[in-house]
Amino acid sequence: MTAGLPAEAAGLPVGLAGTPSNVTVLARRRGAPRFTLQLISVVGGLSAWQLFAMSGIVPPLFLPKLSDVLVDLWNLVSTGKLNQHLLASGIEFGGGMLAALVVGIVVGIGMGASSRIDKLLVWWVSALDATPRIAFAPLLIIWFGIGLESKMVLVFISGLFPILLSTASGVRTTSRELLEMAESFSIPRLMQFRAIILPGAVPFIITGVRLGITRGLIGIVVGEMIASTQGIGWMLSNATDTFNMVRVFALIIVLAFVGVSLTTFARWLERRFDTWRAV
Amino acid sequence: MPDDRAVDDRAQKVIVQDVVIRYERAGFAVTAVEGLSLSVRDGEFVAVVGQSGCGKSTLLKAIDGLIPVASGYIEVDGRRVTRPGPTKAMVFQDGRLLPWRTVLGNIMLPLEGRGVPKAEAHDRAMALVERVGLTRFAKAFPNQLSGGMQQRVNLARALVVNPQVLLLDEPFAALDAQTREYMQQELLNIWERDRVTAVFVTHQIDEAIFLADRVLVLSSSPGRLRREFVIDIPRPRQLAIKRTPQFHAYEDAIWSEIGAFGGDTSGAPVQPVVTSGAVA
Ligand SMILES: Nc1ncnc2c1ncn2[C@@H]1O[C@H](COP(=O)(O)OP(=O)(O)OP(=O)(O)O)[C@@H](O)[C@H]1O
Ligand SMILES: [Mg+2]
Repeated sequence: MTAGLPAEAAGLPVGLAGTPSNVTVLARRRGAPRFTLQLISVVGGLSAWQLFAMSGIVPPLFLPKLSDVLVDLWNLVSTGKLNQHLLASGIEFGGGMLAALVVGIVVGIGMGASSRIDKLLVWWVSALDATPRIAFAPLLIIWFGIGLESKMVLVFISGLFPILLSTASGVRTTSRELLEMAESFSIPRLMQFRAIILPGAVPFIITGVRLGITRGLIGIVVGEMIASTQGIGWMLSNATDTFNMVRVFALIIVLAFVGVSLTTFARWLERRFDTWRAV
Repeated sequence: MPDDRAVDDRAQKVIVQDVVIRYERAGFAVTAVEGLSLSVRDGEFVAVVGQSGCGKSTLLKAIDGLIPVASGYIEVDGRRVTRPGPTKAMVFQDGRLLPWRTVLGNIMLPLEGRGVPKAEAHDRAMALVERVGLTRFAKAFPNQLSGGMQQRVNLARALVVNPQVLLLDEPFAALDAQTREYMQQELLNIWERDRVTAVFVTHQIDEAIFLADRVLVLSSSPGRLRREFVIDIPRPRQLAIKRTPQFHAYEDAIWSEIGAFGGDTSGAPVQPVVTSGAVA
């Protein structure tokens, strides 16, 4: 027991130091400073920003004051302006990701389960996956216009390949032993799929989704910055064009918040489904 | 051995005749079993022992119908075996449980595969959960169970389909000595109820004698039937019989048979000290 070691070294009776209640206390004591450190790090960093901007060493165009940024952020929220653009970006992201999920999982299963489908598609998938998705942005805008649709498609092709490829590898790595067991019990093919192959692939699919979300987020911001009429990326490029640095920083904070929320959610999902992968 | 035993009047349940089994891999073939013949009577418990790699698992899989024979034939109930079927069930050495299903869910799997209605499958699986003593763990996942408990689930999953032929491939090999003995007794207790035909592969000589009506010794590479020993110990059996002179005599006889051709007993347990007595 690792918790017993320091006590042993300190000459304390091990049996006493190793009791469960002591272990919990140790863990709790170790947890508290970690949270304090995080708090110090965030508050300290933000204060440093505010103080540095107030000192006048750099012009406000380079680094606006945090207080100004927060005021602007509050205005954006209270006037409903932010909500409106967040909604537009959200629709693009949601629509694109949903399509990426459905197509990625279905095609991924096909490629993982059938080497014929795999041979048929593998070159296209690898080539498209290796190409920076942003390169397609101008093309998509010509094809689908500057409205929501072009961004939706960009999110779709950004999120698609990570989901598709990890689904395929999840299906491919199904344990031979489990399949032989299913064979021995005469489990029909379709049920082997539902009860063994798919559940085995779920952790892989979730990992793909996490990667897909990150890439989709990049796709949406860059897509909107290139050409659009609304959305967070549009606001960002608008603020840059008018040298509104306060607004730029306010939007970056919003994006950071959205990004952290989404990846935290994806990691939580991943951990939830990981309990059985670790067997 | 006496020939007038009641056992011998029963019909042949499993017949393995002049069987050859080869594995093809990357162009060259390995002969795992060659010219193997044996038979198992209805309701008989047969143990198969032999050195590692002599083809015991291969034989079981072939009886189950998971792998084809290159020549010869295998019959169960007078019908040629070509694939797995509802009358046979396998207990695998490595649990092969679905980690994402509960104990109950794992035991229900073969029934679901047969299209048994959910409610009935649930009740039948639950009855087996109770029979193998895992009632408190019905809703637990395999990674929450000890090795011994996992093998009970493995056994229950095979028994739930009411097989007529039960195939067991070293089901207790991964367990510690104490748990293994405990499981041997449990298996016999469960088996006593309906005395289904059983073929039990093992490395443990004492396990084979304790469980079986007959112990078949296979010769190694390629696998052939070397010799068979009829175990004339009355049932129901308790673990205490392992300490009787009669039991030791069987152990001694089988060990000397294995020693007579193998020489290489690496990985096998140390030969037990024989006290006294002869085969009854
Ligand atoms: N899938 C396979 N492909 C090729 N050769 C195999 C395969 N499975 C088994 N063999 C070979 O067939 C022979 C018999 O193997 P088998 O697994 O039946 O032995 P075993 O008696 O069960 O051994 P153990 O006691 O170690 O489980 C061995 O020589 C092995 O190398
Ligand atoms: Mg084996």
